[in-house]
Amino acid sequence: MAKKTWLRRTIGLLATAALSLGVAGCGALNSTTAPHHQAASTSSKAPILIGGTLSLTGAFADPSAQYKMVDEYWANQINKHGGLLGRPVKLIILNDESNPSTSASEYETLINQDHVNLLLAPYTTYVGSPDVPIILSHHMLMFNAGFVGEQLFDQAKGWMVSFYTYQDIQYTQNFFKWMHSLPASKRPKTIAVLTDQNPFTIADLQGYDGQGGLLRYAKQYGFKIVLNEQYPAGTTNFDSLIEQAKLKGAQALVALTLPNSGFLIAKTVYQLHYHPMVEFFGGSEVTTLPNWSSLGAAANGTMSTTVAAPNQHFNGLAQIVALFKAHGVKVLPSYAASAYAALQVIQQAVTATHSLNQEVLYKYVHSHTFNTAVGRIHFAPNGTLPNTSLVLQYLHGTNVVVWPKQYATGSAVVPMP
Amino acid sequence: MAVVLTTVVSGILLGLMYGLTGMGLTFTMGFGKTMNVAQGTLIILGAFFALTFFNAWHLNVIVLVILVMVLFGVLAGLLNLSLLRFLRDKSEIITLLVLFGVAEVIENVTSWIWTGNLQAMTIPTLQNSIQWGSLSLPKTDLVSAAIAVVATGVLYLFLQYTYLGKAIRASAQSDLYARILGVNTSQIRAIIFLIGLVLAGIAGVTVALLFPFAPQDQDQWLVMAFIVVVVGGIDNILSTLLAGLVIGVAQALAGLVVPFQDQNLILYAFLAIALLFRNNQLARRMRSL
Repeated sequence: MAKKTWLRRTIGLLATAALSLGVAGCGALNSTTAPHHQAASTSSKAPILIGGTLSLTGAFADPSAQYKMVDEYWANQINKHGGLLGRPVKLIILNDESNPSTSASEYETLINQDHVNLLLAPYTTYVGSPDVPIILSHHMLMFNAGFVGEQLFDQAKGWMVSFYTYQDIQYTQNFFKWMHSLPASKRPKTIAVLTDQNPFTIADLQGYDGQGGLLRYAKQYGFKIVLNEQYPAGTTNFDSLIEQAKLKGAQALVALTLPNSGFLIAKTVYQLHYHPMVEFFGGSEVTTLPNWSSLGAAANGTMSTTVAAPNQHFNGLAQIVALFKAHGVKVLPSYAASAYAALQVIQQAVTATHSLNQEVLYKYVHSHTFNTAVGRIHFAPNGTLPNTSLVLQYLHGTNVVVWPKQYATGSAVVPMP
Repeated sequence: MAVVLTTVVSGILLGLMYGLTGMGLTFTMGFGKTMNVAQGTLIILGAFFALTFFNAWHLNVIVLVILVMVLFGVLAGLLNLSLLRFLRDKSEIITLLVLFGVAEVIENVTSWIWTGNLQAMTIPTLQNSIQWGSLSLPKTDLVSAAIAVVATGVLYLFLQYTYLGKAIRASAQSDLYARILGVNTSQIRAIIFLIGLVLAGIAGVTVALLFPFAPQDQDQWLVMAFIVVVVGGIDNILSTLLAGLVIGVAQALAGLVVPFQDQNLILYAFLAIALLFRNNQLARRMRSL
């Protein structure tokens, strides 16, 4: 019996030691990928610290890896050319593990322990929402290329600036403008709307504070909504909704979705022989997702939006396209240009003000125009940008820009093939 | 009327597939007295295997199922040799924790190999539907339902009419008496685990046929498997299939009766009712795990 007790205690001790080593190991790993720093020195040669979290593991690991790729590309370019204000730039990217609470605690770490000079936002509204009160309480300006949310920007009172050229409530605005521009014979008149029950997509549908939202745009441009249904996250069967859309004679289908349900809705529409004139996906820019093509014929003719297209020739956009191509990414993700634009604004604002002071940068950023990969931008008082989204149609494996006309790379096929 | 008909039929087809997702869990819980919390990750792993084989060689579904079964058999053998055989006499909580660890490892390896991006397997010959009057029957739904029915049928016959099947049932009823009657119960447990894993692999093929999937989707399928098991019970694989079918139809019809956004209420109502009625049976079983 005594021997067994001894054995158990020994095993317990070993387990505790292993756990401690594991924790220490995790810490070491953390410090390898993102070294924690003591208070950032203000000496002339000390690096400028730019911090943020990204989901280096978990559900959002792949897009986050692409953000990191853009960040590192920019930092390398800057450092090759003598840095910012003559100082090298150092990125401190912590892993939020796709977890909002981890991200929030890491922003506290970045601000209070690492004393970073500038902050980048994490990826997705889900992960980033809890970070907003933190940056606001510290009056740290957050350069946000990671997520949208009109309400969150209002909450941040200008301390967060967006590099997405449209917010959640505007996802369908340019789509409706495009539909309205169609000749009457080709213009759908009735719409079925399917919305993921998620705060982000609900804002796409309903708008916020009396502004935006699909319901408002549909009314404004004279389209009749014949079906308006919300579905719970994880819905696995859309057959009855699609049949109802068919039954009600909806000539356009608008799905405000996250990627999973977007894939499933497109597949169901195809399988149930529903032939709307237009099939648009808002919320998630599904047609620029890496595997949208794997839907085969079900993807053909579907529509979505994006932030910028190569033919817009914006400042630095070609470099980002080349960077992604060099890494084997054929379709530029919607966030790629935004990620680069955030860094461009940091560069332009810091260089112009010769300052890392947050109040100085706040005033400068809100009162100047910047030349970036998402165009010449000027922030609204709440830090958002005017809606300049592009409407895309996915045709035979390629995203064709169909709206606005000056950037169109082809004509939309209506009714969709 | 067409909407109701389509909804019922799609609920039946999808429900059979739900039943299959719970089958592996029923088997390991009911016969092996092991709660396999890695079921969700294994289903997703099966989906990724199917996708990889299809993308590489454009195999038909039957060959995909057979290949995935073989790979899952090998995986079960490896897990058994490396981990599970050391857990035979350990408490159920240790087994649960180890399987939870296995699930974490599989999810991370899956993310590492296939990335966290959403994937979809589209087999061109199965992409469209069979039109029957006003009814559209997606070929993928039909094929996955057929896979579920065949897998359940074969398993049922195996359990009823083979020596090994009888030994598995005997061992599930009483480990001690089975041993007295000459059944090698250690071997039987390994076989039960193997069959449970193979069933998860087959369910993975049907997930790949029907849905987009990513490594992080494992929770969804683990939850579905648990609901099916709770509703159907852990004594009988036919009732598991039936439970899946009932859930599928109820969930589909719920979308017509209540606002679509509340359809999961029906699913969880089933769970609550099943727990009320099956409370004693489940508690007894859980105590014996």
